[in-house]
Amino acid sequence: MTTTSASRQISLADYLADRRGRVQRLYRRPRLLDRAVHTFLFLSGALSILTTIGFTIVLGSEAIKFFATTEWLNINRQLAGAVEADTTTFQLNTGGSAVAEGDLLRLTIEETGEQVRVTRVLDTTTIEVERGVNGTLAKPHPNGVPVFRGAEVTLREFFTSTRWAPQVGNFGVLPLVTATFMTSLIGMSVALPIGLGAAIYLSEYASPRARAVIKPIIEVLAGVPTVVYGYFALTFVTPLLRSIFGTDVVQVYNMASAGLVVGILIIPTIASVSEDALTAVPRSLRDASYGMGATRLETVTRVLLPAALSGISAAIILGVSRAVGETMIVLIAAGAGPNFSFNPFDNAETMAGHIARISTGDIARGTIDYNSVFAVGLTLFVATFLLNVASNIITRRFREVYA
Amino acid sequence: MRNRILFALVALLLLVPFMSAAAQDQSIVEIAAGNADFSTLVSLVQAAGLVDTLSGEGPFTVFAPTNDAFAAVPQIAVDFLLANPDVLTQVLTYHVVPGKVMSADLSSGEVATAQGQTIDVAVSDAGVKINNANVVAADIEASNGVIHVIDAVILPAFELPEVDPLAVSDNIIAAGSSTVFPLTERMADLFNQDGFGGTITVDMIGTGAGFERFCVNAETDISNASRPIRQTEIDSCRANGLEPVGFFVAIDALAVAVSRENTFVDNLTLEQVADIFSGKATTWAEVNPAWPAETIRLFSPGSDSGTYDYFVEEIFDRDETPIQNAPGIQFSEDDNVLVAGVEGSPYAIGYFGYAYYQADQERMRAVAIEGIVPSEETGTTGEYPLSRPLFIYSAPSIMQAKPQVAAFINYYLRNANEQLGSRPDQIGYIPTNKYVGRLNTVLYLAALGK
Repeated sequence: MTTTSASRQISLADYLADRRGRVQRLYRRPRLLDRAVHTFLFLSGALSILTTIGFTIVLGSEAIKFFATTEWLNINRQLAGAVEADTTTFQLNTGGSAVAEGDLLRLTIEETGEQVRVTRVLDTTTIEVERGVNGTLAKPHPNGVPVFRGAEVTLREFFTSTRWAPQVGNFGVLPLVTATFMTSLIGMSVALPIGLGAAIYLSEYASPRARAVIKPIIEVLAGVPTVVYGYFALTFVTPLLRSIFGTDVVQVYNMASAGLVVGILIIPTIASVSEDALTAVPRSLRDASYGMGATRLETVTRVLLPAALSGISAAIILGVSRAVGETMIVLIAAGAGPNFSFNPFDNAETMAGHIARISTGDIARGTIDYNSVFAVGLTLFVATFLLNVASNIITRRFREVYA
Repeated sequence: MRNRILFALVALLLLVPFMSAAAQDQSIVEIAAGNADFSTLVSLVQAAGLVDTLSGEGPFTVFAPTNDAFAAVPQIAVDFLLANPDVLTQVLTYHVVPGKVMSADLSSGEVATAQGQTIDVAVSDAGVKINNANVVAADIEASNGVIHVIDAVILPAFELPEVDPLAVSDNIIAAGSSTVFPLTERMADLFNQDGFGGTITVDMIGTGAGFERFCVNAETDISNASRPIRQTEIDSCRANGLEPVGFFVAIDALAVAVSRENTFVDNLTLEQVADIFSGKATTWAEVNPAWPAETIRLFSPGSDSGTYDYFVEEIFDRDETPIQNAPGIQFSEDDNVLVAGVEGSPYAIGYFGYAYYQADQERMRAVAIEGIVPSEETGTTGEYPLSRPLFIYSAPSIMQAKPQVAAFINYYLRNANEQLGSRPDQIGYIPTNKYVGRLNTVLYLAALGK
């Protein structure tokens, strides 16, 4: 390195000349790689949007089908004896579910099969029917044709009934909603104080060295597969709860255990988002607070928390949506059947857990189980969507802008 | 059980008059001939030309099946025995043990028969069993030995002919019960793997519809059935020139189980099981006032499982409404979830395929149903109310006309038991015992007429 090079004037000609001093012609280079990267990035963005749209359409249309069309329940009944196109008295096989007056029945397994309306029930195996209702064609049927019972699902029943057993025509989603609410509530009651506490500690109290150790450890929690959390709940937390409260009180599968572990799962979410919000509060506010003679605690509670409120609210709502949608932990630890119960030590099934359990069997397309899962899925989707909207509104409403 | 005791009593009553009259100077054959209850046995002994032998010096111990015992053997097998004197001789001499063995001398173990093979003697408080038969009357002394009366025909082991899947081709059509379906399908897969070149179709249409296709339409070669064929179905088969012959291939049984911590429930009636699993009784005290007033925790296999179907069929007459609406009931397709749930609370109850229960029986305890404890034995005899035999039916005319069907059934009978049990690669039914296997062999040979 010489002193002359530093003082040398650089002209445009130097840029256009290569090292050997030959002047280059200026032209537009084809930036193929740039283009490719540009396109890839655009597609990535578009793909996630398209996926969301497609997902919403599928979920929505299947769920609408569930409400708008008649669901056909397998009641394990068959015709006992052939019928002609004009026969109005049917003999049914014994066994299976009872048929009542006014029921809509469908003959044959085909979606387009003849539908009949029960006008009178003479005894358990003999009914009188009105043939070919709902625009279907009355035709002869052989002995042994399966009979299905039609069930209409109303929004009113869906949101007010407390019994969920789609296979036998009970479509009240409430037990699944309350269980989701219970596990989320328990989870938040763990995650909120611990997550927020960790965030305050990390942003205000921790020495840089402590922070460098603790922060990654908290983030490791977020990386643990949820199935591990699930078995942690079932094999560690549940026995612990049972030894504290007694095995008669705490069931093997219970909401409390699942909820507590869901809480642990969302600690990192709440801690890291809240910490970002706290760190984003300008230094000048802290300095002013300390300058006024406030203690550290007063600074945190009176100045920093209000200032970071929008970010913390967002963290909480993010945590709640995570808790509401959490599947594996509740599937493993909370129970395997809908149960309308507010006792945290009872078994129950959340919306996400129900979808997962039902979908792991040999579920066939078009069956009542299959269709009902979409309705539950849509309910869950709407719930998390509303939470996200609420989070956006709160963030915007309470945002403190520091210029 | 009750039937069996009743039967033993009737048998005893029938025998009492002649037992007192029975003189030491009458031979075994003469005593048997003098009693109407042994007429089938006597006619078979005559057909086999064994009268002189059994009237000889002896001494012999004869396990004599009653007429009812012979009536329980399918007619096709009896006809086969009558048509093949050498086979008949083997079966009859299998009922004879050289020497005079009084019941007091009997102990559990194997005893060689005149036929050459051994019989299994099991002495217990409940009585004496010879293979699959019960001794219903003992120690009828004759001049040349002793007669013990048994309630079933016992069979020696015969060999099934060699089977070579490569040697047969063409198609096999099976249809019927959805319960038998997984087993028949498994056997079909294995048969194909072992080299069978044809196609095996297995349809799942239910036992009744299966028999309709088999007997009325004569479309299928094999009919899968989760119950014995009914008389009306036999009649419609015969009307079509088919003589149905059923092979007992497996036992489907359910175990209703509670936690090992549960000390109060020993026995439940079917009605109580229905009350419990429909939520009609929500606490144990409602089932039986002597039991604790604690909430019953219900666990059930999911509605996609055959175990659930069978339970609903047996307990609720195929109406799923009660069990689906039972409050707090938990359904899972994963047996581990159910076992952990049942094991974990003294107030929990669940039901399982018997094979799965067996695999986890140190964690749970099966409850007796109507006083009968589930076991392979009570399942095989059909005493246990929540068990049913699984069959495959075919007909001699089909098996003779289509060698691939005969070969497949042979292969099925040889290999089905290995595929049954609680291992993940097995099908969760109880294997049939060797005595059932021997009858299957005789039926198979009879169907082929050789």
